[in-house]
Amino acid sequence: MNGQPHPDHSSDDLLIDSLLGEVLGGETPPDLRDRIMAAARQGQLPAAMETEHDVDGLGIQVRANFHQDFGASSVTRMARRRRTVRSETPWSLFFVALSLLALFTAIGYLASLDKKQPQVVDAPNSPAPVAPADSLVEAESSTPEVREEAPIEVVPAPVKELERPSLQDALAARNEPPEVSFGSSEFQNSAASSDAEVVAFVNASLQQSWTSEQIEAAPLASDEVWCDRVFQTVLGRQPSPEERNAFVRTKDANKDAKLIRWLVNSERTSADVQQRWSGILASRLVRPLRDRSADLAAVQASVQGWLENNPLDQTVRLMLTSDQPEFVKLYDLPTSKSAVDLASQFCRTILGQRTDCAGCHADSQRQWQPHQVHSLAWYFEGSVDPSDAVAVERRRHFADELVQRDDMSRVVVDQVWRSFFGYGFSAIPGDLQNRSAVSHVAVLDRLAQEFVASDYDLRKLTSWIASSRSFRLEAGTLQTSDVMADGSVAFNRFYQPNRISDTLANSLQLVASASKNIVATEASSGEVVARRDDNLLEPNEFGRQITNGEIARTVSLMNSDADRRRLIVKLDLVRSLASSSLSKEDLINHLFMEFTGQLPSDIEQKFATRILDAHPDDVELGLRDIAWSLFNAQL
Amino acid sequence: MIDLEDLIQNHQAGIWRYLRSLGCTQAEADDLTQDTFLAVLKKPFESFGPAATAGYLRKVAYNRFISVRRRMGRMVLKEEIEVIDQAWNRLASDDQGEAMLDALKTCLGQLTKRARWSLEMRFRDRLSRSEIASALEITEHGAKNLMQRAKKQLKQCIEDKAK
Repeated sequence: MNGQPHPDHSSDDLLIDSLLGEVLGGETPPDLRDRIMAAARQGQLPAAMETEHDVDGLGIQVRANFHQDFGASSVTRMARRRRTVRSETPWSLFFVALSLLALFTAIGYLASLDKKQPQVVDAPNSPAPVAPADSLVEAESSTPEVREEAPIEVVPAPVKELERPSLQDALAARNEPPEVSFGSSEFQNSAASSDAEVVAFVNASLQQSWTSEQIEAAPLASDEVWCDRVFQTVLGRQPSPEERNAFVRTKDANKDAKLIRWLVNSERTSADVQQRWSGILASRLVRPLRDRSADLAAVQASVQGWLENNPLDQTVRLMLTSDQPEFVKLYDLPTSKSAVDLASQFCRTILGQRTDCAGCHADSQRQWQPHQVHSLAWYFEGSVDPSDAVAVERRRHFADELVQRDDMSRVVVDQVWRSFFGYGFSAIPGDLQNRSAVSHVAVLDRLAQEFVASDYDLRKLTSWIASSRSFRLEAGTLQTSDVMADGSVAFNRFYQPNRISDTLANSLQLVASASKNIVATEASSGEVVARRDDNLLEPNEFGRQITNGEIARTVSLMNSDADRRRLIVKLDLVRSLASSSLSKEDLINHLFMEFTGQLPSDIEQKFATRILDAHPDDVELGLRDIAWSLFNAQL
Repeated sequence: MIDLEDLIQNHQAGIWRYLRSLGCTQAEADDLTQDTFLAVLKKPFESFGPAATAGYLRKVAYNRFISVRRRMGRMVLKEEIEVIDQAWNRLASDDQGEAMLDALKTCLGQLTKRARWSLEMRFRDRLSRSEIASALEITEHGAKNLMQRAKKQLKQCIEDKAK
């Protein structure tokens, strides 16, 4: 939403445009108080103050640090001066000239004293000491005698640099946790509704959004198709022919609900369910915290064990505080990472709160401020050794802060929903704090609230989503008509994966291999294949070469109307990045954070750089190609 | 003595909106708003009332904007900016631009459906002029004229309400 002025606008348009941007485009002035006060405390000068310039538009050249050099008492008060200059008479000018003469005389005296006395530097903003004229004369007459008898060599006192502790050091030294709000915990007090009420709410809310956007829902799927789908989604396997036939032949009107109940509650399926959800937890919640080479199998085994005996909130708490080696490694920071990075990653994966942007600059779309982000380092100072009681206690404190928050349940609902439909409520996986980028907020909040009220019972959450009407509808690939005005997915059908890449790296490599621009030229698949860069025929990360067919399909999918419509809402960001002076690496990092909520791995960075390199004269085109390829991967 | 925090609280939105209307991006407006208040911190002034303070802060912001644009080697059309400046002084003396926004919301209701749609597609959906033209089944030139006329109407309507 970083609006740029349009090139064909008159001055009238600029004013109206900015107002329309706010009224129609949803732009709002950010609250910059904390940022400005922090800059003021650090004594940060405004960039334009470093050189002489006309501050008040009156044509008077003023040095920015004038008052620091000469004391605050001589600072000209701008508004007062403005008024005075306009009402001056010849008499007042005469008095001004007289005052200046007196001032220069006094400065002359002081300059002569400076040669004889050690220099006194006034503290900034303290009034300049003004001695009576008589005492100055006395000092003038007495000093020469002293100098004649015992000449004093004036040696300037060595300038002692203040050793100010860094903000992080200062915060780490505190005994109390930082005063940071991780969000509300209101869901804890809510009462649980019946399953039927929850499902009815979800259906009604989605129906309402379809009606208001004039989106047509797909017809109901056949029993066979739905049976296969629910088995695959809940248990991670297809039904046996006997299971499928038994379901199809049953005439019971409530057979859907009965099958779902059996799938999530039966002793026979319990191991499958736990394995499936521990895998989701391990990959969606833990994986972003660690390197891609993490031992996810060991993590998943532990999580599965905890899930057998604990609700989800306790399982997450155990994940965060466990002294098992695979979990202790989570806190073992590589040299390139700081405690702030780690805390930010936890906030993103567990709470869906993006703090990483605010760590570098003010982030008007989210609530975190830079000083709050840096204060999070407190929780991860110290050793990862489980015998370090203080460090363990601080991490336990952090876990307690996270798991009681409403946002954690929202993240779980979003992830579970995403595992059902392929698309979640948040445009960026793991970013729920920017509410304007979250779709179907009422559905998300209600499911999250009921999830907490049901004591974080994953089985309940699974059954609500599996019982929803959206999950019962016919499947299809995402169409333009399935995308709402804000670029989010309507869930008016069940979506079949429309992606040809399992990983981001593969998707980026496909686009990089297609050489010159795919999107902007809107070239046909055949033309792009004909122009492919044969220098990039290296095997992909799965050890095989990319085929012409894959490239052709990529071009076709990336130029589908549905994806074009989804990208339109992101184009301002792409344009804004393109016009910035960021390095290639930073451009790619920012794009990844916006689209995927995480930084690129080395291999992803490599292929994204290749795409940018293919457009040396037009960064925006390269960034658009990268954005397309991020859409093209199944995240 | 002016309290900086109060000053920021009372005037930051107005300054930010003013900078946006000069053509700043959101990020530029953030930075220049910060610069404006820091400049005031470095060179305190006496307040003669909210309108005078808002006017003075806008002047500082204006000079920062010009200074930054010049440093970036970008051309600044001062005449156009002065027109915007005068409009702000006329329409939003000390209310941070809130009255202008309220007026705009009312004025939008007075546009024809197609004119309003065109602006919604431009500002809410961020569609290009050619996409708007295709949605309204008119030429690109027609879409441009439609939006320009709509904005002119809005400007006039806001001026009328301010009288």
